[in-house]
Amino acid sequence: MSGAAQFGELKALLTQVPLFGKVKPKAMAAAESEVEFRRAMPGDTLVRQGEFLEELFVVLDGIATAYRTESDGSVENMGSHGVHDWFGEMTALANQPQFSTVKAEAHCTLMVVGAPLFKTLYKGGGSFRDLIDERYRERALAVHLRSAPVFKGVDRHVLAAVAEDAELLTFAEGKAIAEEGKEADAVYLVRSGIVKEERATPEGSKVVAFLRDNSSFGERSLADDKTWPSSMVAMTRVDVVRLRREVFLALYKRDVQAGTRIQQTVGLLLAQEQGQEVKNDPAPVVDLSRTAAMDLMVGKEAVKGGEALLIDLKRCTRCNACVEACVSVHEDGVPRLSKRGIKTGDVMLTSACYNCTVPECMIGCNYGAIRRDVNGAIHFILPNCTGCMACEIKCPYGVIRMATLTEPGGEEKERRSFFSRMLPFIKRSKGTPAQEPEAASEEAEKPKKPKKPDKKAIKCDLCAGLPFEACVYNCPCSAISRVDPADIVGM
Amino acid sequence: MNVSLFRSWWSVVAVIVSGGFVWWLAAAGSAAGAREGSDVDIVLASGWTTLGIMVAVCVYSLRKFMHRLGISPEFKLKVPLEQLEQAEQGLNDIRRRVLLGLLNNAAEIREMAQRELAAHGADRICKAKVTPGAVGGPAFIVGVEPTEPLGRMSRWLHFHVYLGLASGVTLWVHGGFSMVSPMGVILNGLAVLVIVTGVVGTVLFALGPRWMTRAERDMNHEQAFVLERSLKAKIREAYDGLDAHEVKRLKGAGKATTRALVHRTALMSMMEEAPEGRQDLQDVMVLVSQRRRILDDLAAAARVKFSINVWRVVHVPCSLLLLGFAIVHTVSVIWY
Repeated sequence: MSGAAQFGELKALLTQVPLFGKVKPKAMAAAESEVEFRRAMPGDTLVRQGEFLEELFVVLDGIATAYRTESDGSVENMGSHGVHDWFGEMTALANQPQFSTVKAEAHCTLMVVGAPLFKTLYKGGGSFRDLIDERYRERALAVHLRSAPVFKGVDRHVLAAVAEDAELLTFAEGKAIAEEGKEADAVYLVRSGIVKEERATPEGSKVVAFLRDNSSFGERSLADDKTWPSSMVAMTRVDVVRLRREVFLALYKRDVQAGTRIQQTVGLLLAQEQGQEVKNDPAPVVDLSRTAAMDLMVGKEAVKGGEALLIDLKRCTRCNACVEACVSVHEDGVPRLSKRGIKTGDVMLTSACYNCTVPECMIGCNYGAIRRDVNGAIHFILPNCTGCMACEIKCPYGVIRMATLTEPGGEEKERRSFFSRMLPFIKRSKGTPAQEPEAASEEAEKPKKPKKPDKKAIKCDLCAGLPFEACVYNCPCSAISRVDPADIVGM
Repeated sequence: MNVSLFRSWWSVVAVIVSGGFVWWLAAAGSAAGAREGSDVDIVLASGWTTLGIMVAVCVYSLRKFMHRLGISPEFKLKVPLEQLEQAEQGLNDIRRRVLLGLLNNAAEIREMAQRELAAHGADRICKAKVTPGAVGGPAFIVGVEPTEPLGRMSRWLHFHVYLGLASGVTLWVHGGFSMVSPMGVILNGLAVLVIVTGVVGTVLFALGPRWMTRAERDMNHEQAFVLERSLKAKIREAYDGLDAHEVKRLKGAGKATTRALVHRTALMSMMEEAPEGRQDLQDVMVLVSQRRRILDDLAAAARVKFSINVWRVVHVPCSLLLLGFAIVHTVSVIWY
């Protein structure tokens, strides 16, 4: 069968799936190369709980069931996916690990929509996006309440009732979730993303805290003081579960035991907020003032980072051994490490990949060229990289660079001999400048062979596959180390 | 001050080695460098130990340069990413079982994780690491850490520093710093130079980073370098807007273009001569002043960097000469 005929069949098949029903034909043109079909036998595991995926799975035939293994060891049936149903969108959208294991219950045919197409279709909006979002909200909401600290120990049947009244909201970066001084009428549970807490002071707006996944705010709406003491602003795309005050009041009436437990937790959270409870925080790696720590974590957005490469400037003799070591482990001779970055006090967070909790580069890549592996490290799939620079622009730390590659995985670099490097100096010493402007313009006029540089994104790969991290391994003064940015300030 | 340069178990080894020889010398009632009767045993033992230490401390440099040239044996241990991902998949299963509370023994978890790594050949490059988890999360965090087969350079530096110091004591026990023969003068003289410059270097390495940070002010060497390049390009652009004779006057006769741009005096006189406020000249002036400041900062940082590395100029050649002469001395003693 010809390629066109195959594509025609595929288009006909896709139009039958409601999810793809109203997708524009132009957008679907990419489907030819971006869609894969898989068959599964009964009992086959399609995706595992805890995996990081980027694909969307659409069931074309058969039935698949999702199972979640809870922390107490019990396995819960999360529901089945029938014909034209889909799964995998939660992982792809929120960059969270797969929430449940999905197994084929019968002979299944699945359509796997690759990351580039999925993201293109999703960004295209329309009914595709609406359907995906709607289903995402339903599923995410049902599962998130169980892991929220405020509902710790509350019976799952009670939570099922709470879920009916809860809302899952998504805020874009920079949007205010709550405003200082206004009435606090709901509790918010942060499902994914990072929220910063800002308070107005005579000197201007001041960041006082940040909240990450599984934290909550707005508990004071359940206490006597019902105004927001500060504004809550999304630092990244943020998913929050909003629970109105009335939901809690109804819950207290319905289940006294659960209500008491929630009130105890709320009391504890408020006490912690007011500094009454001693936190079990790790000792800070570096002694920074509260203001400097907040500036580093929130102002300079280090909080988004997962693993930072830290240089202790009190120890670094600037011998450059780290950069030379980085060069030695890359065949292209281009260092991934640059001794530039965020400097606070006597420490510097270098421009090496942070393996962010919420990787902006991965979210921004439309071609599936950036993936997170099972260990949480961010990898580039160079054959997929088109050199569009979206990741370079999105990266908040400037760690991604574009480099000209000659072959997959290798970067072109002119390796000049010692004598050729000396040549400009020799010429200059004879009174002939290395490149006169006139000569340069003449050279520019000469017809050149058409050469299209193939730029690809490169960044620190954590010396993948080697028994060391070259920079850390080769520092003679123990000045460079990998740390969680939160550990720097003991948060 | 970087005190981590001094905190090492190698200091204990150095004290044991040097203390052992001093005790032996005292117990035998001999003088350092004496060569009569039972003293010969001490002389031979201390001589061979000193030579051994000299060779060992030079291996530090070998380790450093082999890695830099990419010929270190550990490069051959590289594991393909596919194998690593398979190993990680296995570790993920273990993590899930830990989360479920099915695995509660740290030693058992570590052993299982290590087996998983070995099954995919990843144990060549990493080893399992199990740490207690935070409250509310899994009981244990299962991770991996690189095996670092040859050890970190910082440990090699400790080894180099402390055994180097111990070699001073063993050398004294061996020859008593006798300067009677030409070989004695050469060996003892070089040894003193190497040890003194080494101690100076260690102290400078401990104190120098603080001076460097102070000299760098707001930005480090790399950042300043990039900014300087950018300003240089901007100055070139700004010169395009000036008349040819003005550019010629600013550049100065026979000077390289980059250095000639920084002619503040010429610029100031040109601004004074100009009949009306020349914005273009003022722009150039601002850029030139900014670049001048950056260059001054870079020069200050370079001076500090040079001062904390200047000891190497003596230390490295003297070390090589010392090792060479020590081998010549050993061969000649055995031969004759």
